[in-house]
Amino acid sequence: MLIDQRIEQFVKRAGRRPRILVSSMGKKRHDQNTRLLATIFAETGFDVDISPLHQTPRRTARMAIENDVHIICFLSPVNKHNELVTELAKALKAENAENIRIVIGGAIPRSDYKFLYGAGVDLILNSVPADKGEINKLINLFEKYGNGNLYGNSRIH
Amino acid sequence: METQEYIDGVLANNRRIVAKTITLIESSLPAHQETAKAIVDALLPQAGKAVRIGITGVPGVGKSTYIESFGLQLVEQGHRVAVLAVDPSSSKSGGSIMGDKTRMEKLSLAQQAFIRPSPSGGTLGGVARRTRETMIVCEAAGFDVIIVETVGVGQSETTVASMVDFFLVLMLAGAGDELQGIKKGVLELADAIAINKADGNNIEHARRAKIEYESALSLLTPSSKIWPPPVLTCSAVTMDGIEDIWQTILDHKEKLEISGELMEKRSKQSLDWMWALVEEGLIDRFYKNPGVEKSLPNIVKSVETGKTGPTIAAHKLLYLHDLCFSESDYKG
Repeated sequence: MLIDQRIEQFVKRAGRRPRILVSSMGKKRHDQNTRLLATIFAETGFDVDISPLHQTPRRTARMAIENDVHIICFLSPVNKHNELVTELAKALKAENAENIRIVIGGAIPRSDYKFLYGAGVDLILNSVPADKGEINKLINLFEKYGNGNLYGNSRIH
Repeated sequence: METQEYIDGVLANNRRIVAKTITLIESSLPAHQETAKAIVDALLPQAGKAVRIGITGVPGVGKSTYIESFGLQLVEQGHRVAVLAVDPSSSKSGGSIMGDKTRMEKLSLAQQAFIRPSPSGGTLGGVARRTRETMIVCEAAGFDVIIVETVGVGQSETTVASMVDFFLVLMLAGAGDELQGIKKGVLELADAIAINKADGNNIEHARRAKIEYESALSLLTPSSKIWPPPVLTCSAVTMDGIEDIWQTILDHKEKLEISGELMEKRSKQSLDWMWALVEEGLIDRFYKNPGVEKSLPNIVKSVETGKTGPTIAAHKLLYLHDLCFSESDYKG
């Protein structure tokens, strides 16, 4: 099925577009790849929230909850991904918001994949900008967790 | 989650549940809308105590930066501030980019602030309806200042002005064409005009622009008998004039409360709200009408190819709608 159609279907079932927070965590002077990713997501048909630069996991979690996104996506600064993901998952859990899923991209060695999936990551983007295959995987994730039920598969409190 | 859990969560000012409730209000699913209606109805008695401010201005005027400074100052004074921002959706992909918080970095971290950007979703009227209900939810959650930021392109201003107590129009000085730059209609809605970016070399320009706007406003009939809209200058960077604007808003509130105009304004707004819902419902019913739904593609095609004139086609569609009107329409 075409990406457009999949999104239309999602909207019909969930009552809104897939909403994703593109967050910028860690120390970076500028973040063009993050902006590029946000643009691609919006062009795809997602509602995209962008965070300010230099966010901490806790701030990211708060913004994701306040804007009520389905997914948080961020590009990890080198060698920070394990730490950031762990912290982010913890921050979401502390607010009863585990239903918000985590997607990351950036330079991530294969050897860390197992740890990341275990720590709460649902999808690792191999290419930035994301290609069609990865957009489809993202939509799979939206469908799994945002499908008509506001709470997805997670518990309420 | 049960309706009552939403209501309790909002009243307890649970950030996540306030956010979830807004999502329900914005949802296009009838089931979500039903729940949202029940929640808003239950919260209505707890609302109405906040100062409701609408802020608009052309793109680039510095709305978000202004709200950052203005909001932070209010938070420092002990207020609880909710910011509702409407961002335009792309008419092509339907997606949107909501970057308001990148320009409200400090305010978005404040514990007493809540910022929620919403995509316009292509239906400007629809968003406005939802913004009204969202406002009720934020007030019930204890926010005492509600700021509604609009896209600033001229269409959504009227609707936003019809749901706030105070409508602030931000302008720029030194752009050359101040008076053509914004539609006369928007000026008529303004309860105050603020010339933003009045700092550095721009102060003199701002002063001159202030005089120009004052004379332009003097030609318009003010919407309130007792409130001629003032023109102010401010800078979101140096904070000059920000407090003056808040004082102006409070002054406006006090004067209109004493004269009874505020009550009048709010009851007129309730009527506006009702009519907006009726109009939206009519459009919704039209599209969901089985007769219309069946014939719509063909009629659209025949207008496109020039076989049928637009007037006749419109008549035909409305006729079909009347013809197929049934009890089941009440359910959708």
